[in-house]
Amino acid sequence: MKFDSNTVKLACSKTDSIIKKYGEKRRYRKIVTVVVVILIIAVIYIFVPRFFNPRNLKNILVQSSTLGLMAIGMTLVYLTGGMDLSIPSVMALSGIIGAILMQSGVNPVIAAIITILAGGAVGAINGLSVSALKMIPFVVTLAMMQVMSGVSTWITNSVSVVVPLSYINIVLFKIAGLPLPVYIFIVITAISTFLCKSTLSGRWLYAVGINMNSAKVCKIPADRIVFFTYVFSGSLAGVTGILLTARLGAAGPLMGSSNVILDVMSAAVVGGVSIYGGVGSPLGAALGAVIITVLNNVLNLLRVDFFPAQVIKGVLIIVFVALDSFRRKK
Amino acid sequence: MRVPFLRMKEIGKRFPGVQALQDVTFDAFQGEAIALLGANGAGKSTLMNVLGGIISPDEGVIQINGKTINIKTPKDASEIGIAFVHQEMALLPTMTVMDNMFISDYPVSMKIKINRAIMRKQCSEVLDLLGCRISPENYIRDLGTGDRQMVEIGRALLGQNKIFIFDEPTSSLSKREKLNLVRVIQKLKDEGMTVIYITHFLNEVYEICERVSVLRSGQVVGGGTIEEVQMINLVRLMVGEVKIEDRGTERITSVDNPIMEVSSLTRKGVYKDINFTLHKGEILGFWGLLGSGRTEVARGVVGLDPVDSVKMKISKNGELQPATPDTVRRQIGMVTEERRVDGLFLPMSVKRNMSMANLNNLIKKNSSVIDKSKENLLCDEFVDRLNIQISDKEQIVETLSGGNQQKVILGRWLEVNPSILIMDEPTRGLDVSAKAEIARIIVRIAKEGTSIILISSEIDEMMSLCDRFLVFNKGKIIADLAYGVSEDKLVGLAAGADEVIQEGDNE
Amino acid sequence: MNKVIAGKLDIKGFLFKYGFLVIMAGVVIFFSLSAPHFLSFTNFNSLIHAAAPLLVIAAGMAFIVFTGKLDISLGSIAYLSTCIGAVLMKNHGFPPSVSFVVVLLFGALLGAVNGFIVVFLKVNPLITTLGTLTAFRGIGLILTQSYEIRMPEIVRAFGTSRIGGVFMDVWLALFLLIVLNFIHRHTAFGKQVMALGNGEDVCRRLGIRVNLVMFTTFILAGFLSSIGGIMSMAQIGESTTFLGKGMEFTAVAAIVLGGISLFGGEGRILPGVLIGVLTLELIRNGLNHLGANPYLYEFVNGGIIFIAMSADALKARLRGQVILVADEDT
Repeated sequence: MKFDSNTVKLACSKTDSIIKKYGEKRRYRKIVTVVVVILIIAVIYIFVPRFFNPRNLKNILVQSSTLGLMAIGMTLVYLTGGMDLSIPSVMALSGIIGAILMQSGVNPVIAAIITILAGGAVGAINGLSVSALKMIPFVVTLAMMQVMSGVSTWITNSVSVVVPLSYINIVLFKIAGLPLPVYIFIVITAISTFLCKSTLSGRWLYAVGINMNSAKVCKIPADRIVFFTYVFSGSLAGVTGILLTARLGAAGPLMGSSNVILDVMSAAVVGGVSIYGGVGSPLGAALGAVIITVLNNVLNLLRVDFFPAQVIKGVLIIVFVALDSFRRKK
Repeated sequence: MRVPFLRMKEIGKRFPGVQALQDVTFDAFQGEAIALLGANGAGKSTLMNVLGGIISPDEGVIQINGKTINIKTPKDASEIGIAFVHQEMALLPTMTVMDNMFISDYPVSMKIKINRAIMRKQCSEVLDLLGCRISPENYIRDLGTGDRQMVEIGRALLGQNKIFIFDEPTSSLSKREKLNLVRVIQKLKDEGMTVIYITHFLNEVYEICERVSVLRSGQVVGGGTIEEVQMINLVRLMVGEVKIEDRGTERITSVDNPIMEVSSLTRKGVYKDINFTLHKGEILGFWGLLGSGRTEVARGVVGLDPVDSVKMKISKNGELQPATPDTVRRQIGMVTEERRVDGLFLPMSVKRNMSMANLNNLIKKNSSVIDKSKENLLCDEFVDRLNIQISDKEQIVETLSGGNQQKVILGRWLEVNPSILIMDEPTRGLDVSAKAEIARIIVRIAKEGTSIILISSEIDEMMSLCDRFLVFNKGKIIADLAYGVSEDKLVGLAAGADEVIQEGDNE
Repeated sequence: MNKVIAGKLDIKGFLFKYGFLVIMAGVVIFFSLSAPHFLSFTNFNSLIHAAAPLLVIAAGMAFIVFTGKLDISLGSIAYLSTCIGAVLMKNHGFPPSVSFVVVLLFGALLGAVNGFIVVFLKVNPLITTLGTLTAFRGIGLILTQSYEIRMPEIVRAFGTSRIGGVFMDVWLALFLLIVLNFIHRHTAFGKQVMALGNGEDVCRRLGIRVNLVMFTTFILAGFLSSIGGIMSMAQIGESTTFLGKGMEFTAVAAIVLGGISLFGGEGRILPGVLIGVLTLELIRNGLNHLGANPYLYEFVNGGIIFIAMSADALKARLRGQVILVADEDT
């Protein structure tokens, strides 16, 4: 057999390019997100200059904080290859529980703690169903969403529960001109990103999402990890319930209507999180939440109706997931 | 010279990292059975998958009666009359035997309605022919593997097929079922059909086939009528002249240093009452056919599959003491059969793959933050020790060759340094030099005091590496043999040779 | 000892096979005893009348579920396709017959859109249909500008006319169920749909045209949804914005209650779908008769599906045990 240097070179450059491609692939997602942000800002600047009004910007930050927290919860579930559709309805129900407690005279702090625990408890049921009973996450949480919104309408008779002003003042306390939820959002984003990127559980999380079987061979407590992601997303839904209740001044079943879940999913997916598991980060989802909030805000300022906006978001999710599937196939 | 009925001409196929087939020409005539032999990874399955339309070749053509034909999908193949009995069964558990046989080609009346009467009749005929006592209305999920295999074979017998491919059809059959199959194949030959028979059992070749063709590393290395080739030659042809690292005769024979004892390990319907002891520094071979329970027992021991009962003892200060399975399992590492399926994290880096089982030891004190410098250090050490060929440790594992991927998995366990390491087919799909390298590593690990349970389908590898053999057959250990036992005896026992051999007396 | 085990197994086997019948019988007995007038022809007649659209849509969903997938956009398909018909009749003066043909075509087309995204773009079916669930409804709301559109008298007559004392749409639904049951049980297509539920790779190896069967199934489900949509529209007498809302979820609940496994490849159209739908409708009707809080129903509904699905998952796990070696003792 003849060995000419060309073939060798070709082979070398081929492997090089493969290696490069994989290195780039990681950066690719981040670049896409950044490019999308820049494009959006440019378009907005041209068409909706009103957008850059400081009050509007502050509003966006506050709104993205609630969406972002839910998206972060969803991201952890996504990283293991799961799905939690019940987040908004759990958020609404735990908010309602907190509000009812406060109406009946319970200390706001204790009420807030119970709100978070309630969210976590529902998450635990989801988690058990998925990890122990091996039920399909999408279907479990779809059913849970139905049950939770059912309970919400039932116990409130579809009427909002008003919360005391003192509670609102505590939760919306302003530091340097920005209300507390924004800081909570930033802190939780930072903590959960650190958790995912640098700790033992974070490493396990990605491992389970990439290959559950390999994870089990490596003695990773895969079922426990999956279980806790649902508890985490439930608890974050509880936290969101507190913040949103304070912002709206009342808690009601509509807070967690099924439109919200679309925003949560869009936020995660636009933020570079893969629904197939193992790819993405809470930071990405947080940025995704900001993007989605901006999108909502701009559509609003442009006086685009609610329904076309829904159509756009529905298509957006499919397109992003299709791109993800396509990349995977390659 | 006769014109062959089927000719696969100069077939070539490349997979990433391997030349699976190279310039393979394969002829088969009508009214004969030809055996296709070769070690694991020799390219038998790939060649037959080409014929079955599952894989399209890079080069070469397929001719029938001298006419070139195009096979692009399994459907094309079945339209031409090629029936493929897969080793990995393609069955639909929630459906009936009947439906499974006719699923892609139902007989219909009045254009749409499935004609159940015809189905039932043809199905019963085929089952009778095979001597199979199940009903066409049975659900697949209620059948055992033997019957399932018969359904798979029955499907091939239906319809107007002319070429029959049997890929290791007997590995899950009982003796009676096997006899029936031999009879059916004889009948097919009498009717002028072409039978291609893939097997590991050389005695079956002499029982069933007229000619053989041997593949090794994707190339045809020999063949002829069975009168021309002797069994000894066949083995040599299959294995080749390359000798795998042989430990010579310096084996461990001492039985006074047990490290683990497993007893009454049972999983209903899979294996039953498994008892064995593993010694320090020993390489214990689990020998048996596919589906004999060797892999299943290994997975049961490490807790990857649920078991119905198990008792375990582990060595503490040189003495065996009872311990909970969880305690024992913490000291066992496992290299699984299919590294891509349940071994590697393909899109992750080499470094992360290697530290994955050892993360508990890589965290900083009193926190759960991973100590990255420690992780890098350990990774470098084992990349070096195992001579893993990578550009840097952030390289994605998916881009590595099979041999290097396997070394990454070995490195993963060496980082943990468990006292027991189970390796299931650690050299499968690797080229000869990579095989030798892995074998050398196995010997070295054992010498350093790790006890190893080795599973391999390659008798050669087993013979050259193991200190002791446990022979599995139908979910039971049927023999416990020390090094020095003959190859024939091991092969015979695994195939379920008639005489039950008690080796209790050589203790 | 052996006998005891055999007895136990039999009970298990019996529940696997007839559990859904037991549940329905329980529901009927419970409400017959606790609610007067529950057990009467008039009540049963109106009950099954109310259930007719769901029967058809659930049957379409059943075909998707047989393949091991879900289509949660069916309610939106029912809505959008009937919107188009309503707009044609109202704004463009089309006769009802022509409009309804268009509605059916659109139902099939929207199903094809789902099928195309799932089969050819390889997007996860749940995400796809979650996206189209929102997008289709959004488009419908844009088309009708979220107004109700009144139906012509002839259409309203269809919705309330009876043959032999039983509502016309009930006859139609039963006829469709019989046809669909025939397709499912007695045609190659029906069998191959079941085969898909056993795994696509196996089917591909068996020479089944997986993509074609899958695509056809989505079209069939879309087509049936539009029929369900027409029935629902005729009953109400107008195209309302709530038409089909949440119906996909109720359909899933009905299917699981009818003994059809969400893991695919198991169950029957008749009596499965019929029993599942009737059980749900009996509960709703019974709760009404008891004068229960109307908001309670959503919760009960969700709870039932959650429990039914857990049972389904458990069943699948128990069945999943593979027999490798026949036990020699038996």
